[in-house]
Amino acid sequence: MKTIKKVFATTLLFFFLTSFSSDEGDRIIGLWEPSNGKARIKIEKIGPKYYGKIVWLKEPLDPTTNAPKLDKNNPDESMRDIPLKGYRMLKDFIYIEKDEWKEGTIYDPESGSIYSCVINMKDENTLDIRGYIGVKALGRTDVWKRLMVNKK
Amino acid sequence: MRYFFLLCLFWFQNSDSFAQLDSIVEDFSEYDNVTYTDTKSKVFCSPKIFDLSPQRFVSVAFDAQLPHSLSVSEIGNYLPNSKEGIINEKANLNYVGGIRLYANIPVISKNSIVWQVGLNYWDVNYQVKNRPLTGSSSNLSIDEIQKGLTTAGLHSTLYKPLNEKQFILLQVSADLNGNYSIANPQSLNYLRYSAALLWGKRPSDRKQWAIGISRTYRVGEMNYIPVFMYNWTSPSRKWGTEILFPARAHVRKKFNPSNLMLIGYELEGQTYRLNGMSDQNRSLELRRGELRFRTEFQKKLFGFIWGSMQVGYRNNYSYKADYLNNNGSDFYRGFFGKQNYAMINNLTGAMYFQVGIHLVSP
Amino acid sequence: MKLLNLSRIILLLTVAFLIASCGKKNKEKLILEPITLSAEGPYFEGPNSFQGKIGLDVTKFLQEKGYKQDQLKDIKILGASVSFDSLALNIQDLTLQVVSEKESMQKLAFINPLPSGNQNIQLSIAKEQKDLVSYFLGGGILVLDGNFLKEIEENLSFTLNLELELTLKE
Repeated sequence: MKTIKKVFATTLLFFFLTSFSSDEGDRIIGLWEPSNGKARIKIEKIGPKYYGKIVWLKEPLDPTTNAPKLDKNNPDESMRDIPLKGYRMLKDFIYIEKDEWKEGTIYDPESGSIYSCVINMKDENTLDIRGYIGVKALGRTDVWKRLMVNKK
Repeated sequence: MRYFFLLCLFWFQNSDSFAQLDSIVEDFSEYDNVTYTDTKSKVFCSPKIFDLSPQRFVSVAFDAQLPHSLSVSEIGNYLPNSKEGIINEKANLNYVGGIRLYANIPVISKNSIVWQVGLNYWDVNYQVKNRPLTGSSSNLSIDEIQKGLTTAGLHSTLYKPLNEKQFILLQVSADLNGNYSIANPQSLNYLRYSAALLWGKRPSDRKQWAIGISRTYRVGEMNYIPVFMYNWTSPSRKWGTEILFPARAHVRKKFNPSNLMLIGYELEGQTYRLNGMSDQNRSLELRRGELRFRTEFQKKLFGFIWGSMQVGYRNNYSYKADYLNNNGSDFYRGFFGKQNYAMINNLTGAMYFQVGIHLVSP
Repeated sequence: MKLLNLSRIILLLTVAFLIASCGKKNKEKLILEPITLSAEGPYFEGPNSFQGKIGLDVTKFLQEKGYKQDQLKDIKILGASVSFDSLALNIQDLTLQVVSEKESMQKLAFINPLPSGNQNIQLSIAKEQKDLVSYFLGGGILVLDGNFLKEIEENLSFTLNLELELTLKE
């Protein structure tokens, strides 16, 4: 009887823990918009890391070619025909603790530059995205807001 | 029994969590039909437009003017519009130049405000080839100039966007200029202050303009002048302008994201205390102003390290001198003032070049 | 003269030593077992992602050839092709990337636009490929992103064929 009780207690504890063990880092998953409103980025998880890809552009066409915008400033010439829509501009973020995702990078298609990046969640609907070079002091913070897709 | 109910409760909760994951389906085709879960963040205009030459965080450069000559007048009382004084001494200069250090670090850098502080250090050395005899008495001014002219300063820039289109730009600086050495600096009483305040608009990602007023030493002496900024990039993104008139104006040609060229001019100047010709009663200030026409090539070396090379022609704007009271305060003459000069010196024009390496901003 | 000859000998010996210490490098080609990249549908118009884990082909290859893992100095992608069901023909472009726990995401290949009517496509390989060894030895994940031109209800999967060049030190 004692053994059965122990098994139950252990089982209870297991389910209790697993029901709340969904990664705290997953709170960042969803659709977000930078402050300039020019793009919308979907953040998702691949393996243990988080990535953000462009799923919408305010101005999707290149005015000079009238075709969907491409990654024409990529430093690797062989990659310049990749379209920006669908482009993963946030890469390799790991959730550390206390509303912070680190060790990732952010790509700026305008310059073809990759910056180190840290994400802080100010609240469930607001992210501070700081891109920097070398040290955090040499960078810029942008505020991203969460979006919800309206159901049809 | 209690355990059984608890087990059911937690199992149910678990099942609910799994169900939530399975049912998440985002409608990718309707990303233009969205709602903000909170308020939309206020949009502020960026301090940059497309394709501006990169802003520098840290800069190390070497500036050199090629051979030219200097004539130094006797100390006297010269009318403001005098072109030449009584020449006391002449010198042929092999080279004038030195190192330029610059740092501009963001203290606050957000889309709602950018505040940067920095420092600069310029060294101008004079290498005299010969000093042809003029038969006049020496008043040691070339000796004083040969000690070199040093500028060390602090500056701060505040960019405050008001909304999506308008912004305010404030820049202030304090510079200590003279023929002193870092080991033996001159008194901070001789700090010279400059400032500029502009209001502007950014109508698009390719255009930005502003108007304002500045207190400046770019012509060699204190002046209050209006300022006009105009940054523009062509639709092709190959051409543009970077203008902060009258301080500088350039046309920009971008070859690719890693290479660009600027053609234009810059007005450089400061007022330098010649310590050896100053005493407890008065301070001799050399009003040095230069107009530099140049072509500059900028190239990305790796990462955020860029190199630059400038070649051009330096035209002398002012090399006059004033005696000031020794309390350190300067006076305002402007373009129409009637105060006389203590010296009217002249420099002939010279070709120059400048090479630098810079850590640039994202 | 004697000193000059001695200097020349020392120089030659140094060069010989350097060459010897670099070690001889072999290049071997390896075609991986086809990798299935999948994701549950339905798929909506716009970007969609498909994933698949890199198998143990490289590890097995090294064992068969008698190499140790630390002898594997470099891996380059020589070729990548993707085959898929006719339902996936309404795709504008495909981009292939690789991720792993320890390394950052890297683009390997892409095609834009997809040649029409073709269900077996060669991807353009990225010129810059850095440090791929750890992905292929350490359980990397391949991610195929595709921009769909219209909704597709049915489940899809892609079969990826990769040809690698392994640089091995003897």
